[in-house]
Amino acid sequence: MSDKQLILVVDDDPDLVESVSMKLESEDYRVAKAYDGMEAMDRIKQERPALIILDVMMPRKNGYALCDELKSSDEYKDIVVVLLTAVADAVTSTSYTHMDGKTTLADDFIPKPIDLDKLMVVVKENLG
Amino acid sequence: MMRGTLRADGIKLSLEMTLISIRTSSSAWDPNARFLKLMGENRINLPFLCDAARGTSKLGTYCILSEDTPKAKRVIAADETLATRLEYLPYVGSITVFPHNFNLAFIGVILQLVGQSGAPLYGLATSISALTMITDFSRLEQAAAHLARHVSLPVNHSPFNPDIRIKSM
Repeated sequence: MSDKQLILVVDDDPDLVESVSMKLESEDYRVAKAYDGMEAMDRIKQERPALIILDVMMPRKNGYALCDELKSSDEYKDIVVVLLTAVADAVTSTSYTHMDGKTTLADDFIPKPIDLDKLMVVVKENLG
Repeated sequence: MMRGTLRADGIKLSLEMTLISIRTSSSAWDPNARFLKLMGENRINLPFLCDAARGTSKLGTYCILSEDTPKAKRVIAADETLATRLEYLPYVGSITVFPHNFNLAFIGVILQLVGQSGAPLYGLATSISALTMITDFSRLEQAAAHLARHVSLPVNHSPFNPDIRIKSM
């Protein structure tokens, strides 16, 4: 098994998933991909990523719901969750954060549109 | 072709749209730029945009949602020079397959499968991940079903039809 850390990229925009994946792979991470919250949960159970880059607005199960599910689970609460959001200006902290009137236990956030260099800073900070 | 010989992560279908084509053979005035400016000023979303050029000939193909078409036509009609350059094809839709992984064989096989389903091809574009084809809206489900029979998709694949809409207000 590879000792490269696995990152799961979840967004319903395949172009965003692809561009983020290419950047992460170029930085020597392994990448798994999912295109909605339910598909992401399957991947998490199968592959247990170290970090999840998770879009907020997605079909079937949105990013808030998936984040809540993970953070309330003893099995998955240690997985780092980084939310992708277009409403980052409303974010006041990076943990136990209020966005759009919702509370999330996400570990960090990245504003959309994504700056890939800033994304890498956030990923490296959160993976130590 | 046997099911499972080709893998994809997803297939998505669009809502019903109108295809707008703009042909130009002169570089003196670009009606495409004028069209895009008008759509932007009036907050009319373009789910599909493809710009092709050969020499001084240029073909812009764009899709707008059917529900936005009356508004777009009103806006365009007010610009007489632009209005004469446009062709409309109503009742189209897009089918998007991803990722293509920069594989020309993938693109060829998908096009072949869509052709086998009897769907005509009015427009085609690729992005970094997706291959998008424009065809008759009435044929989208049929084309997707034919693709799904021949392409191996993830078990928990998202629904083909869109269930989230983002609109600029």
